[in-house]
Amino acid sequence: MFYDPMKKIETSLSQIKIVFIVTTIFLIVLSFFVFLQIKKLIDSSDWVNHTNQVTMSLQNISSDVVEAETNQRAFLLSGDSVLLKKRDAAFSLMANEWNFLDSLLQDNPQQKENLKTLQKSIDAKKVSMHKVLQDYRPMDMIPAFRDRILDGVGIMDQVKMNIQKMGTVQSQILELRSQKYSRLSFLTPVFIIVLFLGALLILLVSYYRINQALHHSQYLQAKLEEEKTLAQTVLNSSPDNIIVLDKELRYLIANPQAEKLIFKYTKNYIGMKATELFPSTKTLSDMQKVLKGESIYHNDYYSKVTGIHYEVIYTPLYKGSEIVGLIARSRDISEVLTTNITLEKKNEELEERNTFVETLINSSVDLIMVVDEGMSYLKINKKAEESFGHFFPESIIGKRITEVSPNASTAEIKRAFEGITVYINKFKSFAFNKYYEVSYIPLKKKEEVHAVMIIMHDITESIEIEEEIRALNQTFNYAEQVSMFGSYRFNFATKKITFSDNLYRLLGCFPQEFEASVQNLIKYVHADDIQNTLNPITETFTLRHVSKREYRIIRSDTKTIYVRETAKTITDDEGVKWMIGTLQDITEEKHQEHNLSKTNEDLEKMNKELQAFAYISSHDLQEPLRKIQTFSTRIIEKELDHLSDSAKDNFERIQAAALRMQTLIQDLLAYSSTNSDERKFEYINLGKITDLVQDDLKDDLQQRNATIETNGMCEVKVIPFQFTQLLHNLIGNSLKFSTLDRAPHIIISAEIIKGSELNNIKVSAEMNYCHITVSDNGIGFEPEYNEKIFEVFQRLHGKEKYKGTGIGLAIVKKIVDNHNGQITANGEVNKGATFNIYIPLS
Amino acid sequence: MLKSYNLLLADDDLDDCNFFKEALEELNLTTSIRIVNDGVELMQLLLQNGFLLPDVIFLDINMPQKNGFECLLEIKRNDKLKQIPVIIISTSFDKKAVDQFYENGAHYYIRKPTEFSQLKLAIQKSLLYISESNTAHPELINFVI
Repeated sequence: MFYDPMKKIETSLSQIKIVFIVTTIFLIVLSFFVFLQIKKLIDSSDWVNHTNQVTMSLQNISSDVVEAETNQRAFLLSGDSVLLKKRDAAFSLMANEWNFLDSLLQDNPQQKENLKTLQKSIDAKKVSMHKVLQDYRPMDMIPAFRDRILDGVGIMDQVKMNIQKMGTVQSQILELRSQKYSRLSFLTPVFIIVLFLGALLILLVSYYRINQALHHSQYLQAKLEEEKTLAQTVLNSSPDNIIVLDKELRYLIANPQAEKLIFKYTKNYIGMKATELFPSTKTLSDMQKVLKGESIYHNDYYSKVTGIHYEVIYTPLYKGSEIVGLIARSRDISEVLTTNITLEKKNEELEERNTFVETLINSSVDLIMVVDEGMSYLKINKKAEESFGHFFPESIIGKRITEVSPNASTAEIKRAFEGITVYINKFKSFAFNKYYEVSYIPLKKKEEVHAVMIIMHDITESIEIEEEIRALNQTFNYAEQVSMFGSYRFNFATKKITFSDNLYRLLGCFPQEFEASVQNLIKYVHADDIQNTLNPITETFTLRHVSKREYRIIRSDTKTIYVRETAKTITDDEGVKWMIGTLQDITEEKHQEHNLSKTNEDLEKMNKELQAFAYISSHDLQEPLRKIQTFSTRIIEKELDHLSDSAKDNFERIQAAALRMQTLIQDLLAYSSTNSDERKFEYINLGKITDLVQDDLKDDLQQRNATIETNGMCEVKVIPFQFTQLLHNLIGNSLKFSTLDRAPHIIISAEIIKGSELNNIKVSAEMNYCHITVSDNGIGFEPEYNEKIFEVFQRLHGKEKYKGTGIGLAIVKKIVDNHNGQITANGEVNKGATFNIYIPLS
Repeated sequence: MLKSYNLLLADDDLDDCNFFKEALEELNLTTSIRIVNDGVELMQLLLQNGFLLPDVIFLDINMPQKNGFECLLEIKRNDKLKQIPVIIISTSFDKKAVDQFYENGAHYYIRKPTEFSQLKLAIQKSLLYISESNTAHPELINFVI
């Protein structure tokens, strides 16, 4: 998976070695060949030189022969002997040249042969010349001519000398060149070798340098590799999930821990967007912040995808100063959380227990003190601090007992130090003026008593209570006698029953005259009531609630009395189950009750009869009345022409009377039915009822040009049908009793007020009431009728003037009564009437 | 306007029966009317074999032996009779009772009026409604005539 630079360097090193060796070999071979070639070149050049020397030597020999010939001929012509000497000089020169040539041709046998041949021909010549000379005879010649020949020889010599001169110069040049050449032929190979060595040296140095550089690089690479491996190991062995994301939040790397998590969702995650795999807007916004250079840390991040709590760190990934991505590290902290919670819980529990113990000790109403062997106080609780604080405003800790309470006895403490718990059930403290129950408890540390704890429990109250109970018992006894009741107590555990003294008295016996038992008690119960009584104890056994029964008892003096037995099962503070029962003489009460219920029954019967009578009579009365009306209409319709005027008038009167009777009956029916009607209370808006009534009376209102004004209509809990009737009657009344001078104006207003504001003994002070006022500007009435006005058939005006049955307001009053409300009327003659109605809201 | 009706009136009050008959006469309706004077008689007649069933029954409430409510229940529970429209005609007018009659299938409720002309009008109206509505049970608001 990883690119390995180590290997690459290794390869480079061996390659370089090979290249170096090849280069070296090539250099050596090249140098060798160059050297060889130059050597060959020098040799061939030597050979050319040699050939040149041979040629030159041959030419010299030739010219020497020609010289000798020339000089001999010149002698022959001129006879001058100098010339002969010249000839011999030429020969001797040739002899030198010959030796030289001979040495040159040493390595060439063919030329050596040729040289021998040449020797013979030259020797032949020498002989020929010598013969010529022998035959010589001086000749007579014109001197001028001889001179001329001699001049020619001289000139020739001159030429020869000049050639020789040039030849010498040439030789000198040659010598110089030869020297230069031999120097060159020596220097060139040396130079080549030096050059080769130089190249080799450079090669070596560069190989060494390259090698060194590569080795260094290899070392660095190895180090880097090591670090990388270390990092990889750290990454792999990390328990955290580590992922590296690029700038587009795509996965670059994930350690195995993270891979485990990711593999649950996908295998090919590299290049995938992290936010696609784990979508969370919070994570996305976090990561975007991190890409801007922020580092983000969450100590408890809950992932909805995995359902695990993580500790998360996001850090930007820098390349130089540029952010190229981010590193996200997360750690599953569920366990830590659990551990933390457990630890915290343990801590809390410990703390709680500590606090509990501390609180327990400090909240104890007992005085708790710890005393050391030297009888000095070591520790005391809050209560003790408070109690002693009265006498010792500075703490008593460190003080000796005898210092604090000079009269204290330390014997008990000494005994406690021997390892014995000492208990004193009643100890009177004169300093505190209280009774205590005192415990001396040895406190051990490794089997050794090192301190004693003194617990002083205040029992003053219980001692007082004891006395109080005694007094109470007495009072109870008296009370039983006064209110004529007796009592029993039954213990469920011991099955023992006890009777109070007065129970015996109730039965006409002396206190504790017979053994207290259920059977003995039942003996006194009236035979007819035993069934009703049964065994009160067995029956009440399971009862938690109060059980009550009444029965008759025949006293020992044969007098029959009524008793009410009240019993209840009670578990006292000690957990003992008791049944407590009382028997009360209710004979008197019973007689009264009997009378009352009889009266009640009679009343109810009468009431019902009355109602039925009212209903039935009014209902049945309607029928004959209706017939009277129908028949009279029949007569008026059919027989009108046969009637005299007075008969017609009488008929009209019959009809008017019948109509009045009809109204009367209907009102009576309404009045009686306001009682019997089902009382179904509903919440309804007063305005709604007013509207209904207004609609009902629309014609009347229009006819009289009346106006109705409403204020603060609120919700009321009423029997809608009855309340409609109520308003109908009141508004109807207002219309009926209006004056002719002014158009009727009726004001209906409502408000919610507290009962306490009413100053009316008949209303409850705590309750809220709806106060409804209906007032008009009609004829009103005398204030003395304020009460009377609500009575049945109570009329204030003659029926000729104002129609009416006198039942309307009685119905209103009855309806208000049905609503547990109150109604009052206030009238002012010729000004108007006001009705105040108070209806309770709940 | 109205087709010929075959009516049955159950009422123990002879005066009321006479009023009813007179009203029908004055309305000039081609109707035949049969009158019974108590509930028992009514039910016997209705259940008699071969009796031509009436088009409409006018039923008083307060009747001896078997009252109007009992009769209505019996009529409405009988498959043969239940489609006959029943019109209650009574002096009493108790809201609760009225609702009960409606709930148990009565078509109309006529409160016996004090004026004869109104009685005529009520009978005419009820017969008209029944002929128009094709004996379908009316809305509660139209129940009382």
